[in-house]
Amino acid sequence: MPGAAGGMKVFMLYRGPFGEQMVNNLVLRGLGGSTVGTFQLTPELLEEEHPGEELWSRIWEEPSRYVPRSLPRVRCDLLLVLGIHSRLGDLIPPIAERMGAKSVLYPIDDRQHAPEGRKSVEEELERRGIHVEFPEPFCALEDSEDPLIREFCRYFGKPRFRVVREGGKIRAVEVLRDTPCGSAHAVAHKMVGFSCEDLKSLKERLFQEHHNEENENYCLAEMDPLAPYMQEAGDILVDAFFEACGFPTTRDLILQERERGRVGFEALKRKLVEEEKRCETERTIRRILRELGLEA
Amino acid sequence: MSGVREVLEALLDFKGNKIREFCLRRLESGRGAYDILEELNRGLEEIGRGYESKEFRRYFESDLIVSGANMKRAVELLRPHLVGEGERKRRGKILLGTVKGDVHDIGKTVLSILLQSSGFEVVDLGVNVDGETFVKGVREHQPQLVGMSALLTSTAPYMEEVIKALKEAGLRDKVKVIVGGRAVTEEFAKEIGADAYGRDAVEGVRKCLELLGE
Repeated sequence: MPGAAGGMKVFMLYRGPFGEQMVNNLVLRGLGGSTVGTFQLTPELLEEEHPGEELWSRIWEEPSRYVPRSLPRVRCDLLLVLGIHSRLGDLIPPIAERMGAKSVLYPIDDRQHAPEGRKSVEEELERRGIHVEFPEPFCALEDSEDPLIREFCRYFGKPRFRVVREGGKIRAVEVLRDTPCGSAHAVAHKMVGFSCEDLKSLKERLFQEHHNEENENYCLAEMDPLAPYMQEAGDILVDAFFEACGFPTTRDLILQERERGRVGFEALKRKLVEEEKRCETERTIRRILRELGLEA
Repeated sequence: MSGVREVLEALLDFKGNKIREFCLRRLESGRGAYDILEELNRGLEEIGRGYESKEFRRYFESDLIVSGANMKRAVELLRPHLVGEGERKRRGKILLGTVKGDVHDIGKTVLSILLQSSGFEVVDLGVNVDGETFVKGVREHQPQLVGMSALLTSTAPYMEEVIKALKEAGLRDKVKVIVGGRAVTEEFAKEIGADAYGRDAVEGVRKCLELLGE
């Protein structure tokens, strides 16, 4: 982040390939000068530090006792929590406090990332004067009232592109804001030279590249139809690319449909998700309706 | 580092470097390609068990995706060490697809590579495949086998719909159906009227050979 993001210090707690990919991308593409440390926080680590203990029934009772002994003693302003196990969420308030964090960004891209006691985690952080946000999925994050998270959003969050079209093809793509996982950069690279005359093919290609595991970075959010975070993240990326191309986004289509009298969530879902397959999940419709102040 | 930990670290490395090093180390120590795949497969099973555990879900969907992608890398790397394709007779044709609602394709892709290495001609219909597409595929390609995969318990029941579609089209008796994927069990396969169940890609190849009477 140029000028180390106004001197902002960032610490990242992560787990597994999901977290590792995020850490790599965030450090490589913006937070390198601001990152004061990273730490892989796993259930296995706590089991090793507390052998033979009934850990999982005790952590929530006395979380500060279970803050890992090997956690670096550093200070930070913004604490990122990237894909840690849902049962470890109670550790975040004491960890954030110990590090002097003013804000916590705790994205949820999988049901297993959501802290079991989300409400109590939120309350415990608030009690300590620490702001927390839980974007779902992470790449839906666009802006914040919190200055530290707003600074983060200058570089990462909901993707933004600049696209140059020429002769019915994509000639150049610039990523103005990357997704935290780095899929926006990976997709941008793959789209150069692709035809943009048929919007259906363009949408399908964008969606496929978004979670193509052969790319350097790809979406690792949960894709179960019961929790389609990946599908929603794909819709977000497609819309960002369409917007940059000057093509109608889902938001535009929803507004058009409303003008035609299709105002209900069910009617929009039927048309845009089921019939036209413009969106991969109804979560996208719900999110946009919420953003428009028209609760689904 | 313990063997299990080494396997898990190789499978869960999102950059895919460790899996390559793991395979090369094993080959250099004289291990056979199928042995290495079996060892990796035990690692995948460990991750799968951790994902399915109701008491403590230790692994997440992202772990399944990355470990599957690494398994695919391992199969590609080991492919030259598997029995040479040219040395064997063509064994038959199989139509593969991940059923409607499910967009996971890594397990199916690994199976596809192993089947091709074992002499099968594979027609891959991709992911999110509905019954009509399976029926159309059978008519067009006339395979001996149809393989269906599902990772998600919410999508596995669609396999029964595909079998029904094959029956309604009068094609069920013309093909043997094998099912697999994390969401499928042997009992489930029997319930929906499949001819065979493959626990993993290696077993899937063996069952396909059995279905062809080999």
